[in-house]
Amino acid sequence: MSSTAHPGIALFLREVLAGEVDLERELHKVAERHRTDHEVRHVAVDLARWSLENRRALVALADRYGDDLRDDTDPQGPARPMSDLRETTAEPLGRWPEPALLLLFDLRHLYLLASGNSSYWTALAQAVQAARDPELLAVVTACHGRTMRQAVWCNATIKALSPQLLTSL
Amino acid sequence: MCSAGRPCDYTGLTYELLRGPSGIQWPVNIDNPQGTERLYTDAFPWAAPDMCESYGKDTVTGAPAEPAEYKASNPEGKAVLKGAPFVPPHEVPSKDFPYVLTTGRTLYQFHTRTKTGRAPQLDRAAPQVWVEMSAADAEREGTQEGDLLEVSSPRASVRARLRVSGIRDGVVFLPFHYGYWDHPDTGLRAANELTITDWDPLSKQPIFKTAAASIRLLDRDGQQSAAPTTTASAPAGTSAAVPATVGGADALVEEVIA
Repeated sequence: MSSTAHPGIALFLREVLAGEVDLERELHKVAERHRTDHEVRHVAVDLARWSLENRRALVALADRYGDDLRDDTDPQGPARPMSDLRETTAEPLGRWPEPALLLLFDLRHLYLLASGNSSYWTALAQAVQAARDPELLAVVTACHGRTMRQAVWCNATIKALSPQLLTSL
Repeated sequence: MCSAGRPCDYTGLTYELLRGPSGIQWPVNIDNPQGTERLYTDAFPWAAPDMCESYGKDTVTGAPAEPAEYKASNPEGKAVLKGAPFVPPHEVPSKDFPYVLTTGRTLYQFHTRTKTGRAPQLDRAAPQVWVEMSAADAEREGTQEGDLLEVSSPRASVRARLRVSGIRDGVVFLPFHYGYWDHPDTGLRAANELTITDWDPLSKQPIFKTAAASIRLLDRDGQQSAAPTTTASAPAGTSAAVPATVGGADALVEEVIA
């Protein structure tokens, strides 16, 4: 299959790769920022590895849709503007500096990133079926499963933390 | 009654039944007034989506499964088998801490020994903390049976006498029964001060089997390790001449069944 056959698929593959880089970076940031919350810290690092595994699995096959789909993005490098936690959490936090409240906003942000990636996987799964690429479909399906588990964890942790936190301020 | 309609339904239980000749097995209700000897002879209905008490949890994150996901994946209420993918340990050996540290139990003690440490025979069988290493690791480190070692992790240290046992190369073991309630003046013997603060997100069990540690020889004075010579702490090979762990006459009982 030539690299120009499906520029739409190539576009979404690039976007989901970038989305996984963002999520991996933010998961590491959350793990570091909330390192005294031991369960959040360790689960976040485990989940960051899934984003890395997703990128590796995808890049192993994705070059058939474009030569520029290489995994040369460094999660330690500068963040894309939309992904930076400080920008998205600073405003609603305002004069509430409680770390636990910050964790709630961080988890919400992670949930949005994971959900965003999930929607890319949904689109890609449909598109690669239409393009009859069962090999890439298998990879996309496996990646989507890991992304969903990332999102479900964010949501479940928000659910567990919120009652005590939001009624005790 | 709160148990009505649930698996452990004992709405049919009476004081008369309880005072009767034997135990009563649930459910005991209007359909099973004498209790139920054998459960689920036809089927196990309690995993059905509208019957179950929990939808299960993610094996890696511990997050509860979503109701819609459970209903879609198990509409018939069958048993669910879940695979758990490999997750690398959260602390692995390094140049400064080259051994895998596991902490655990000995047959003769239970947890912090608040009961077993007061039974003289059990206390004598395993009276003090020890550390286990393989024969190959002990030889490479220049250590031998009975040496006093300092075992350190990035968080804490324990001082313990060496038992060269059949443990795997590259792994050191410390029993975690020994703390401070009966030895208030001796520090450096609580093994779980060395482990990482981490637990399995699903079961909430603490992680005592994956930490990294270093060892250092402190003293060689001819004293023996307190490790039992039975069970997994048995000395390796035939080289170590250490006194055998024995029960003695006061541990013997005679049972007479009339």
